[in-house]
Order: sequence, then structure tokens, then C-alpha cells
Amino acid sequence: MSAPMPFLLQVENLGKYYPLRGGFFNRPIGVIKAVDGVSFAIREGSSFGLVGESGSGKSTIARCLLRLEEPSFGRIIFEGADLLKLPAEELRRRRADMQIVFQDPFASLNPRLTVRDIIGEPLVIHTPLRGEALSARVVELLEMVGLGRQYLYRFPHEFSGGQRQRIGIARAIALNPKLIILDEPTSALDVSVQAQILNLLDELQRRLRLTYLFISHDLGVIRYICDRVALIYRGKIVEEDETERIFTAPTAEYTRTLLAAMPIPDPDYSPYRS
Amino acid sequence: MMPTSDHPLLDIRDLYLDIQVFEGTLHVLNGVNLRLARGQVMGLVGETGCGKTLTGLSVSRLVATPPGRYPRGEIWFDGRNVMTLSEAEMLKLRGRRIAMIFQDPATNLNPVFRISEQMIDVALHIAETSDDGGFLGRRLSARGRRQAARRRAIALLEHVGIEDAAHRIDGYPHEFSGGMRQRVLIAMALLGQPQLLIADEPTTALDVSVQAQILRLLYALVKEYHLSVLLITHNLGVVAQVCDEVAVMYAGNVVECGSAHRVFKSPAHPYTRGLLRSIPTPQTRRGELMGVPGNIPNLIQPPPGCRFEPRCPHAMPICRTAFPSAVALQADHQVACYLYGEGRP
Repeated sequence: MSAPMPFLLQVENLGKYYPLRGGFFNRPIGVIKAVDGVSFAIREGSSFGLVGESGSGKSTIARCLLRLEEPSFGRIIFEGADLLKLPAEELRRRRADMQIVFQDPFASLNPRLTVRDIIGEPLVIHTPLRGEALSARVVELLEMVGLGRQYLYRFPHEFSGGQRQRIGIARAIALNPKLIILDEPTSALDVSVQAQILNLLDELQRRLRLTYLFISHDLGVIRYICDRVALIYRGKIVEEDETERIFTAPTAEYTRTLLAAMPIPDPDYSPYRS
Repeated sequence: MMPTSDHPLLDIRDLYLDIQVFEGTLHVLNGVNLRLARGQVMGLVGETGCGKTLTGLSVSRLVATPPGRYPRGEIWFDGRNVMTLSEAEMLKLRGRRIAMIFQDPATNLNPVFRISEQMIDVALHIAETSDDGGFLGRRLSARGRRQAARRRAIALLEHVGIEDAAHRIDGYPHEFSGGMRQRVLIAMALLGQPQLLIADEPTTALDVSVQAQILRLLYALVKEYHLSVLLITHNLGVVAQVCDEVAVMYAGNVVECGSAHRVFKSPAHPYTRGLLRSIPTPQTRRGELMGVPGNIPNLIQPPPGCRFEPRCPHAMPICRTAFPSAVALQADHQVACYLYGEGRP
């Protein structure tokens, strides 16, 4: 092995508190600590997994990283620059390097736009490509995700869940980003389709030298795709390590509980029968 | 062909279901055969649109006709063909001897009524429509019946693991977490003293740790009440852990069924193999996940023979002729595929 790759993204003591209002006059009566002092770092070209159950704060972290949500405190250092201190214009440019694929392929594509417009939108915003050149780039992207030219002028409702997720991925890689945040990208899909999408993500990562932040509650998927994993519980990271170590020698109690609850598709390993 | 056990509790024979939609007629069930013995848990697995939910709904006759239509088939429950029963007779089975729980416990409870009101309603209704007055008996006053129903509801809530049920029963559904709501629905299902529980994706909306608790509860109830469970799910891990039997559905057919051990250890149908290879295991190396190429077929004009043929790596000319009949590989293992038995080239 050569020297370790440099860090692409470093998150330091990130927090997001939401005020909790109630009582007379709806005054603030406390805070909800959705993300409470989270730190981790992702090396270039690697896949970092963020695992947690519903309400643990994993999606809030993703939204803070993209500044779709304003963090309450902390630092987000992307390629050496603190995203929270960048001027607006500079942040806009940097955003092209960070993209996201959402969980629900039925909700994350505008039903009134054609595939060309959906995948072309980031290109229109960030590049001078228009007209024929734009179509050519969209076709190229479609082919990269296993679709083709014939889908250019179709609408989202004409596609299956797996195909829609491919469109979402094509949109995410349109600007040659460095980091892609994958927020439960296969949770809404059937396992046979999930396998196709995981393979596509793996292929694209090697071909385009992408770095992934993979958010999931599915430990099997995380183990398959990630180099490092952090487990998050109630807004805090309870354990972070190389994937193999997390799965073979977990130290945190929560990790052990989650691993024990993960259903293994083998009738010999039933915790209920015995 | 099928293993002959004495009078299975549920015996679905050659069930066909068409559903009329705007675009045409969907041939959603294409000759489903299933047998579930008493006290057994059968996992009905398959992917979106394979007909597993409609099979479950057909057993309790909850598919509206029209738009649904059953061209052929029989569903025998405890010696009676439910396809020929009147709605009045179905009312005595559904919610009583055949109970159901569903994926989303939030939408199956009425948000504006207390748990107690909803459970007492169900209990009283069951008692009224039972020939012998059910567990309440005939003689109690209206008030006495209500109190008895409430006591019964509290006992069942406690039984399914809701602590302090005597107080919690007066809460509203939103005061319960997802896992707790599913427990409430299980308790409600038990009010009718069912023999068959149809559980349609009961843990899909839950976190894995809560899922484990609900599965543990279901498993204990099966043992205690000698319940038969038809567990409808797409999660093969869940099936492997709690089911005795497995039936794998694809596009309206049961393509493989048998004991969980056989189906998971020596899957025979190419689709079952593909499904099992789609799940990443600790041994799967990156890039080696197989998946099943292609997409599910259009059910308005399904493939003429085996519906899996267009995606099958072993497709042969014979596969396009007619759907293969089930072949017994072992006493507890059947597969519907031309690769096996007399259809073998």
C-alpha cells in the first residue's frame, strides 16, 4: 500500500440544535440536539459509512454538510476550506464538488421535467453547456449509469424505482463532483435492484475517483460498500473504525446490539428458534 | 406432488386473480399454490408487484371485486373454501379466526380515538357476532360487557409487552412509538382468538432493534397459541430467522417453496438463487454482488410461459411455452422450473 490518501472532508465538532417551543406563548423551552458534536474525516477515494436508526441524526448531518441546513456549531473542512466561513459565491462554486443522492427516487425527481432537464439542470447552473452539447453530455451520463439515449425525453413516472435511482445518480455525477453523499440510496429498492445499484456505485467510484459518504441503516450494505464506518446514536458517534473491525470486534454496546439485531439470511443463525 | 399432511389449515389451490385497471387487465396471480399447516410460520417472499400482498388479502377476501376478478382457484381455510362463502360468513372468519397485521402501524389505528375505545369496540363487535357471545358470554349487562372487554384488552396488551397497560390503554396512538403501535395491533389481532395470522410486512417500517423485538414476540405467540402465520415480507433475513416454511413468489407465481432450511441452503429456482445472491454477506467482496438483471415483467401482457424467463440465465425454448408445473425435489421442497424433473432437456 502507498501512503494514505489525504482527507477530502473533515467534520469537527458539528452540531445542530433545534429549539423546542411550547407552553404559554410558545416560548422556547429547550433544545433538541439532533446532531451533538460529531467529528469524522473521510479520505479521498474512500467510502465512509454513517449508520444509525431513525432519528439518530444521520440525515441531518448530510444536510448540514451541504448547508441545506445551517449547523449550530462546528467546522466542515472540504479540501482545506471551512465551508461554514466561505463567502456565498465561493460556496456556490464548491457545491458543484459535493452532490447528494436521496433515498426516495419517487420524491426526488421533479415529475414535470424530462430526464434531459433533470440531469441537465446542474449543468445549466454551473456550466456553459447548452443545446446539443448539453444533450450530448446528458446522454453520456445516462450511458454511464446503464441507461441510454432513448430515455432522454421521458418523464420520471415512466421509470421503475431502480431506473429512477440511476437517474438520480446521473444527476449527482453530472458536474464531476469529488464527494457524493448517498442518503439511503437503496432503502426503497428491492434486493435484486439494490444489488444492481450497489454495483453501479462501486463501478462509478473506481472510474471517476469518487469519495462516498454512505448513509444507511442496513449494516449488510454498509459492510459491503464502506471502508470505514461510524455508528451514530442520538446525535453522537458511539463508535468509528475500519469496517472489518466494526463487524468483527465491535467495542460499543450499541454496535453489538445493532449487529445482533441484524437478520442474517441463514436459518441456522436464528436467535429465536434455538 | 405436495407433501401430504393431514388437513393443512390453509390450502390455496391454483389461484388466479385479474385486476381491471385503466390500461387493461393485470394478471396479478397466475395459479398460486400454497399449503400452511397448523402452528407453522410460512414466509411469503418476493419483490414489489409479485402478488404476495394480494395473496394475503385474498385469503381474508379483502380484494374488491370489481376491479378484481378470480377466474379460477380455491382457498381452503380449515376445511372450507372461502371463495364460496357469503360476506356474512366471511365476517365470522375475518378479524376472528383469520387476523391480519400490516406494515404501517400508524395508519391502522384511528388517531382520534383512545386505544381503549378502539380495542373495546373490536372486542364487543367480535362478541356480538359470535354465535355463543364469545369470551364475554351472553348474560352481562352492557356496562358489564364493556368492563369485561376492557379487562381483556388490558390483559392482551400486557401479554404483548406493553408495560403499565392499565394506564397506557387510555392513551392515543400518537403517544406510542412505531414498535409499540405494532404491539397494540398484534394485541388487537389476538382479541379474535385467531388460528391464522396474516402479517404483511409487519416490521418493514421499524428499526432493526425494534424489528427484533417484534419478531421475538411473534415467535413466542406462535408457540403459545399454536398460531399459523403467513409472514409476507421482502426481507429474506427475517424469513430465515422466524419461518419454518418459505414460498418464493415471482410475478404472480410461487416459483419455489419448501422448508426454510432447504430453500435457503439449496435454492433451486434461478430466481431464488438470484435473490439470495443479491444480499451482501460478510464474504461478498466489493463488485461481486450478483443481483438479478432486468426488471419485473408487465403484468398486462406477461411473458407467455415462465414469467421469469426474460431475466433467467438458464432460459430455454421450452420456457416460453407454458408455466412449468411444480416438481418435488424432496418431500419438503418444490420448484416450478423446467430445469428440474420431466421438463429437463
